[in-house]
Amino acid sequence: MNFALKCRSIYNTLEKTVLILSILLASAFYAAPAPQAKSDPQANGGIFGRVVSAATHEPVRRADVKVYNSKDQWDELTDGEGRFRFPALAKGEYWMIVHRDGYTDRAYKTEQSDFDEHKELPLELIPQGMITGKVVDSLGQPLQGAQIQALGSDTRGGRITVREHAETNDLGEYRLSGLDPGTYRLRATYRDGQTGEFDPTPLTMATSYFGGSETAPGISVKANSVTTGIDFILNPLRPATVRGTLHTEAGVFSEKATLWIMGHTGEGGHGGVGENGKFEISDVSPGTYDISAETLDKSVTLFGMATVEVGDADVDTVEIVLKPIPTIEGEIQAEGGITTDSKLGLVVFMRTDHSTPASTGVGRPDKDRKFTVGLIPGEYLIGLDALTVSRSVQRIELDGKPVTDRKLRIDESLETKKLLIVLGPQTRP
Amino acid sequence: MKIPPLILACLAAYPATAQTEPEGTFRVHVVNSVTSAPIGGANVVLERGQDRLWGRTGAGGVFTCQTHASGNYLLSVTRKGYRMTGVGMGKTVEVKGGETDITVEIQPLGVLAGRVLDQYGDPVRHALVHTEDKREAPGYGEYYESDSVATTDDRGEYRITEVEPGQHYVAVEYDSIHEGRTSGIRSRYRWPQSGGLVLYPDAADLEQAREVEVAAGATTRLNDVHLKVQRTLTISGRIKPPPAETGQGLSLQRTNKLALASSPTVQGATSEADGSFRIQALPGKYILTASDGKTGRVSKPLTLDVRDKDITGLEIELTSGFEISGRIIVDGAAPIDFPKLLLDFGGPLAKIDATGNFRANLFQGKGMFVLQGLPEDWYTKSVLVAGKRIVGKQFEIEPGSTEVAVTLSPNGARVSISLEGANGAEALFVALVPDSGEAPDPESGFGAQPDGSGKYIVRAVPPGAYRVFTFDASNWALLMTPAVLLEKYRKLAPLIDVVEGEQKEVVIRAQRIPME
Repeated sequence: MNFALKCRSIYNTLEKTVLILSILLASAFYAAPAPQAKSDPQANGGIFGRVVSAATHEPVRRADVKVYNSKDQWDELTDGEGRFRFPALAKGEYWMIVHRDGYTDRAYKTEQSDFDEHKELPLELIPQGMITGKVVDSLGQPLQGAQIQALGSDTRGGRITVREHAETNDLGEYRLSGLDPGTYRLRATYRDGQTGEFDPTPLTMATSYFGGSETAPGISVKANSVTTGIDFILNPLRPATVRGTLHTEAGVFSEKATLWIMGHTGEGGHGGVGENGKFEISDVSPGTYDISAETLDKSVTLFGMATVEVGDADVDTVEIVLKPIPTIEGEIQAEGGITTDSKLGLVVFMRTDHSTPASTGVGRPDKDRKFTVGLIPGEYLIGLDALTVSRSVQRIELDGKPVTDRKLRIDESLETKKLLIVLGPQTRP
Repeated sequence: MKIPPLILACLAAYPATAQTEPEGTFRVHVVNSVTSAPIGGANVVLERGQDRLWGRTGAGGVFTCQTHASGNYLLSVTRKGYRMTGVGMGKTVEVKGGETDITVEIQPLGVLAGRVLDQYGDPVRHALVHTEDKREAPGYGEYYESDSVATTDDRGEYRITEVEPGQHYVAVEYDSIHEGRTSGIRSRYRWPQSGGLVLYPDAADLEQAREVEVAAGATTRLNDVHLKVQRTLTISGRIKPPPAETGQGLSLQRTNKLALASSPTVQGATSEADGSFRIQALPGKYILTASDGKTGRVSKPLTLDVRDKDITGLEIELTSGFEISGRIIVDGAAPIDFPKLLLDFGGPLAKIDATGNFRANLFQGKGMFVLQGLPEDWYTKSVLVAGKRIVGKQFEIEPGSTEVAVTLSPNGARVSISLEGANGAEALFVALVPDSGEAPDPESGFGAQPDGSGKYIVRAVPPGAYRVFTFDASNWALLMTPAVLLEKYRKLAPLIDVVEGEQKEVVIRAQRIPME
């Protein structure tokens, strides 16, 4: 073996990191900003204003100001006095959005008088709140690189949302800024060891909620407030291994299955493999997780889930029962008919009550506007992509019963379900 | 309110293998190499073959474990903010029965602290501040790498930790797109990209930048950095004639080879069917080139200084590129399946026909010869570029067409190396480094790992004189610097002569090369 190749394998990790980073960054550049509409040269309108802090009335500089209507959008940055100008904007009704980190986004709807009176629009931004604190280990030494997450009270796609996050510095200190007024639960996580392929130090992890438990009351944050002293003590330990059995209703499932474990905020997501009726997932830190299992045979896909509490010891008794995934036969109809050249996009089913790797189903309408999709029992939000939503959705039915708010509930019955989506006329070109 | 401390000390050693009767007690005392103060919470790992013991030092900086077998162990100590000095993957220590104490000094790394403000004097949140250090790699030349990075907080404050003591450039960059992706800032709206770059203290490029000195275990506070944050600018124009091949025909390359997170070193872009193009870029100096993969034509590099205004109306002309044509010749009558070989000069793979003829295009005048897929024991005997033999892998050519002749030999030598001596048991790799008098690069050596019988069999070795080096886990990093090996440790490595087609059996005493 040419030893340069050996050398390469040694520093390959770094090389790959650089390459991946370059590709990601390159793709970011190609994600071109939304095209800026040209102002109407005939316009005799124009609008201008000033952005100030609601707390201090000082100008907010370098704020993004966007003006848009149903067709176009224009963007400006505020100057050193917090001022912005859209001098050639034709008279009309627009929405204006102002964004600056450290402040809550502000929306404003323009009025005719804003153009007629040539007045400077005063726009106030409300400063966001902040939480600060420190993380130490059981020896009282600062822990650098601990992640602090502010968890919101709402859920998105079945997951608890992480509203903001910060990392501790070498002094163990963190500053969690950018928090809109509200109540947040704070979670600190830390991992040490296994920094690379050649690091022999075993992985250790620690997780703690402020207040001691996942259900502890949250911290109330007000606008322009600083809450200090939210400190954590973490003791990183070797993570646990979760083991269990895979069954079908007929007995032990002996084929291969893929597994995924993930916390309720999407944390700690990683995979495992099941075979001969058993599975094992290593490196699981303390917390509450959903485990999902899916079979590899795509002709008859089986799926099962379990919830597990992991403490500081291995968990060996998880049982997952695998069941066939219910099938949905969908059809899209349009009032007034769909011309043969009409293209329909994807129909996306986003699970709202639990988050798993299989929490999204996608229906791809064929030339007859029909599709088939397998959905794990649970509640889904139906999404239609841009091609389809150029038409209004008149109604949705499942087995002849109306589906409201696009929320679809799939039960465990294995009978094929019929989904009908009826579109109205085209809403825009 | 504070949560109660979780007193779950983890100072016990975790054995990874079946237990036998302990032979002795082994204590590792971990201290700060600058202050000699004990260091608690350091990870200590002792490895011997498949056996691994792990634990953390207590408040007194001591880790204690029971060993079950005497012999040499690989000891590694890690702790955030420190590094174990003078080793590759660890330090070899001898463990005997009874009680053994060893002191390991770990070096505190440095901290760079400061503040980033924008053009109005306001703090810039989520700016990336990182060190930049010059490196060199075969085929890539000089470039800069960042080992330590920090993100500014709401006050614009940063602390770059784990900075290697010594001198470093410091780059400060901000990119709203990068910020939105990594910081968790969520806005329902999509905003145009804005950003900026400055090199400490207030420079646009490295020539005007100043290196900062970082001392072991010290925090160095730098002056405030002022970063001008502005929107991206547009570079637009037309390629003449329009490229015949669709796809990415434009390359915008930063003139500095800094390790920036906000923009890649090379940014690709596409042109329309009529040759027109439009690229968004943050301010900086770039080299713009266009190429046509179908015709092999390339443009002359165009240097652009993007500052405050869009650059429009560029006309880029595709001219004759850097073409390579040639043939692979076999020294002797042995057959070879030419199309199965992978021949690369730094551009797209060369196409080789059944008779060994090949053609390739380069995007620039610098090439790098790489040939893979040779049968066992075959080696590349010579590479002639425009009639001149190249040394190593890299070469330069003029615009137009250049002839390249590659000669292969099926008669590479096979060198079988057996190690003797106490150090042989820890060896992981044996390398043959050419001792021809020229400074070798990492591409010019040969090596092998042990086979099932413990022998190191190096195949396809060209004839010549070689120094034989042995490496273990504590010094393998020296593999990447064969020139340093020859300069400092030539005398440690036995010299062997290899002739064409030889089947050579060698027994050498394994040496231990110390890491400094």
